[in-house]
Amino acid sequence: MNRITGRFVLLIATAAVLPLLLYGSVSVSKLTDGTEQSVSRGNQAVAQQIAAQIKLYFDDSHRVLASVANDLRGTQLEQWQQEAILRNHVLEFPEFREISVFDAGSRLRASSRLGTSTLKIPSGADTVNGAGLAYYVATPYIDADFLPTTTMAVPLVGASDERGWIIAEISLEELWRTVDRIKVGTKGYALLLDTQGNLVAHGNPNDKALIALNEAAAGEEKQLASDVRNKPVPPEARKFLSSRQEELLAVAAAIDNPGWTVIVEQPTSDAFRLSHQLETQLFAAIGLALLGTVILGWVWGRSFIQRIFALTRVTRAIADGRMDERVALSGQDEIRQLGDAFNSMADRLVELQEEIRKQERQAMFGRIAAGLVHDLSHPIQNIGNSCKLIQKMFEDVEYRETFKKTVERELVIIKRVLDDLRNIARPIPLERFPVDLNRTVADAAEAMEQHAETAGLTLRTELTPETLYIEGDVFALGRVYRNLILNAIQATAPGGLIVVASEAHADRVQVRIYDTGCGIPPERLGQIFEDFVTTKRRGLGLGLAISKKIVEQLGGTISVASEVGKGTTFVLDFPRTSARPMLVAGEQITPADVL
Amino acid sequence: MTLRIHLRPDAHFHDGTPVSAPAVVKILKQKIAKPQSIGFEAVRSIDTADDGSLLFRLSRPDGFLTSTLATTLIIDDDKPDVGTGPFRLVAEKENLAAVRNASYYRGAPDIERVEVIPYPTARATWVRLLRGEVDMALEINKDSVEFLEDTRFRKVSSIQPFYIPLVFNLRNPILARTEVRRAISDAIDRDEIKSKGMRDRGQVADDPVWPFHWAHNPQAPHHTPDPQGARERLDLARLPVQPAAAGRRASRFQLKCLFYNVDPQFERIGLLLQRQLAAVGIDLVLEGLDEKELVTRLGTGDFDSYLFQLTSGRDVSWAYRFWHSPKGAVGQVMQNTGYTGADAVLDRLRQAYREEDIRVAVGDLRQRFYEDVPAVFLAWPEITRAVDTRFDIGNPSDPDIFANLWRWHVASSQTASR
Repeated sequence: MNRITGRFVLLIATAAVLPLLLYGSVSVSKLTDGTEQSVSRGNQAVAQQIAAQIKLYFDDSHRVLASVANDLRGTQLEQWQQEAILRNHVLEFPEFREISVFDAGSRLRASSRLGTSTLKIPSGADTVNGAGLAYYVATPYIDADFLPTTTMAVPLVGASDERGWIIAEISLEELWRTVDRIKVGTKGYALLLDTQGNLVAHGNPNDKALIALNEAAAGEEKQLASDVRNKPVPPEARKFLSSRQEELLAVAAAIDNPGWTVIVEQPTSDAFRLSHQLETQLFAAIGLALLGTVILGWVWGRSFIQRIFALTRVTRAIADGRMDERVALSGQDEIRQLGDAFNSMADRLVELQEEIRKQERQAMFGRIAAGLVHDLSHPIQNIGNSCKLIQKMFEDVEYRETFKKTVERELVIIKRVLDDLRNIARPIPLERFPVDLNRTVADAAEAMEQHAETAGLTLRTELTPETLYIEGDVFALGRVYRNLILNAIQATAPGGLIVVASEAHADRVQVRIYDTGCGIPPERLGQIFEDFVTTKRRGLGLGLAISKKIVEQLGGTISVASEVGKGTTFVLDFPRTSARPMLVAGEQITPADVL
Repeated sequence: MTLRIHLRPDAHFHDGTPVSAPAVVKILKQKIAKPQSIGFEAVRSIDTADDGSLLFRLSRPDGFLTSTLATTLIIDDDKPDVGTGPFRLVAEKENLAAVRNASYYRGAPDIERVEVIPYPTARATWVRLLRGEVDMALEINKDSVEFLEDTRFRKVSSIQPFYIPLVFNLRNPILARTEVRRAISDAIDRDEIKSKGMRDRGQVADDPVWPFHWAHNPQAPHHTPDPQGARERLDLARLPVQPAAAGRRASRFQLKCLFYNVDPQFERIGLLLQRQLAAVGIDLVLEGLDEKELVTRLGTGDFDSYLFQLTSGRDVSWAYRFWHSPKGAVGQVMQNTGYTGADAVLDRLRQAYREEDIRVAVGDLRQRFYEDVPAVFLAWPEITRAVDTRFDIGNPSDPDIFANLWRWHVASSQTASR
């Protein structure tokens, strides 16, 4: 993914999802807190309901026993009749295993048991009188079958001979059944603790064996039961780990009489399942939204950036000169408008380019024409003047000789101008052979000395004592030197200095033409070797272009350094050669021979 | 008369020797020779017809012989640990234990070892079950069944071939009178006995024929509670309500009843019977005894009636053994209550070996028990067995899952050792 697209996606995702995440986090937090409170309250209500049922269970048992007491009191029933009443109650109320009646002296008066009664008045039963309770429930014990059992004691009131106790052995299986039926959620259950914190009933199928094993409740459960009974403000729901390392949410409710405690436990995974499901769904929705926005942003960003790319491609094409390239963008948005503007700009650019070319062609034509007029008018004028004089002085032999030289000289000039024009269009024919560089320079300087003198300038040569050979064409080299020295003469005010010097290096040689002239502005330095470019007011401006062409054809380079008002230095750099020149008629050909 | 029995060719003893006719003949002769042997009274001789079949020569037809053979252990007295079943008994210090017989002809059991641990009561059994000490409880308490909900145990309930009767001793002159016994039977509300005395875990009984016996006809007459009719019968029998004796209620007569007091269920049933009979003027005096005392008292005839659980078996031979009088009985009988009212039908039933004859005899027997009751047949207790779900017990509707222990599979990797 490119960077702009990535940023675009990030922008959209951030703008869209951050608020969503914030909302989700707040919602989840609220949902979690609300669910926990709601579940705790619901379980608390269940625990209180169970506690009420257990209380009702004992109250009902008390009512049955009170009814028995009422049947027995003051009726002077015989023992078999009393036993019949007790047995009828045992038959009708299956929770009673045995009901026995004791007198005030704790002697057994009657029992539902066919055999010997095993019941006794439980210790602690006397506390009911002081506490104002209607009955007393003894601490449960494990019977011979390892099942929790308890006894209930109901005081008999009345005349002294009627006082005593009704004691009932109560099977807590019925009570256990009550606790066992409680299901909270899918995994929640209830358990019942007696006053000692021992388990009386356990609704968890996996923990029912704890009753048979006569196990006490877990420490956290006993603590919760103690707190709910003893603290003025009932404790809220507590969380702790079960023996199976499962986190439980536990609430408790106290029973007044007996002082037992109901605890409702529910695995938090079950209690908060709905909340967790909603959280999961919420996070899934946020995730989907994030994914959707990323995809959407990627698609949008990509379509956006593709059009930018198209614009970039066409811009580069225009820059490369492929002016006919145009961009075609879809849509009606600002990018499309930018593309249309770009195309309009390119069209206009082509038009402007054509105009510039036209203007340049016109300017060049004017410059060439002016240069030709400048360069040719003087020799033609001289020839014309000489022709007028020859008519008058035809008989003068000396003048005829002068006329001949004048016409020949001016024709040479005309021919040179025409050759320059021709050389611009075609390669300059060169004949390379070893030449003595110093000699070519000295010859050129000597040839131009008269011009310098005429211009009031000093032309000085500073040549190396060592003979320097290069592979060159003496005629072309002479032309280059002449051009450069002539330019120096024309650019230097009278009294100035022109130096033509040679330098030797390891495998190269250099020729420097230095003047103290007006110098060349920096902005024109880069163009002076181009065709038809001149610093002079008149002329074709082909001299330096042709000179550069000749030097490069000879394997050398030409460079210029100039400072306006101080002067200009041209440097010609050629590779040295180990070859030596051939003698032509015992003399070397010099540039002067061709100038 | 002869009876030919074919042995399974692929059966082997636990020591690997084949179950051959000579070996089985030897074992059966050992059994028959024992004084306490019952069921072989009609057998004159046993011979090997060939190596794979036996030939019984009988003095008379005996329809109970096949069931006797089906319940006779084919174990040589010289090799008491070598049987033919799916499990082989092994010597243990405390409990009965058996290990898998890998060559059992119906397929090697999946369970490697079985140990049987006795517990005094059904409640104690299920407590041990919850405590994880056993994998199966052969019988759990009626009150405890629902506590196994949602636990790892599977409950399988069935009506087993046992019944609870209030048996009369006809040596008591009052109980010798048919109309009195019929009046007592009419006074009993069996449904209340089942619901309150047995926590609704059982089925009302009319006679000692197992309701799932193939010859049992559900269209036979049923007892319905009729206290008013009972009172009228007793009035007609000239048994009016007498003034109360000291410490007793006023009644027509007093009826002593022994009951098995180890299981609280019998005390509850006894109290219910006491209340129901009191409603027609009969003073039922209950006396709880343990099994040993009870058997002793029954053996001496020192009782008017008793309340206990008797076996019916899955065939009708046990009806003969319990309800035929000693006089003229073939072999030993289980008790002597002075009842002779069904002797003729029971004799006919014993000699019947054709299906239709057996159906007719069973029907006549039930009719006879309806008309001349030797006892008040109260209920067939429902037995609930509990098995750890680690075991795949197959079809739970089998007559007895414990009898099909060899067909169980161990669902988990744990070794079944209990």
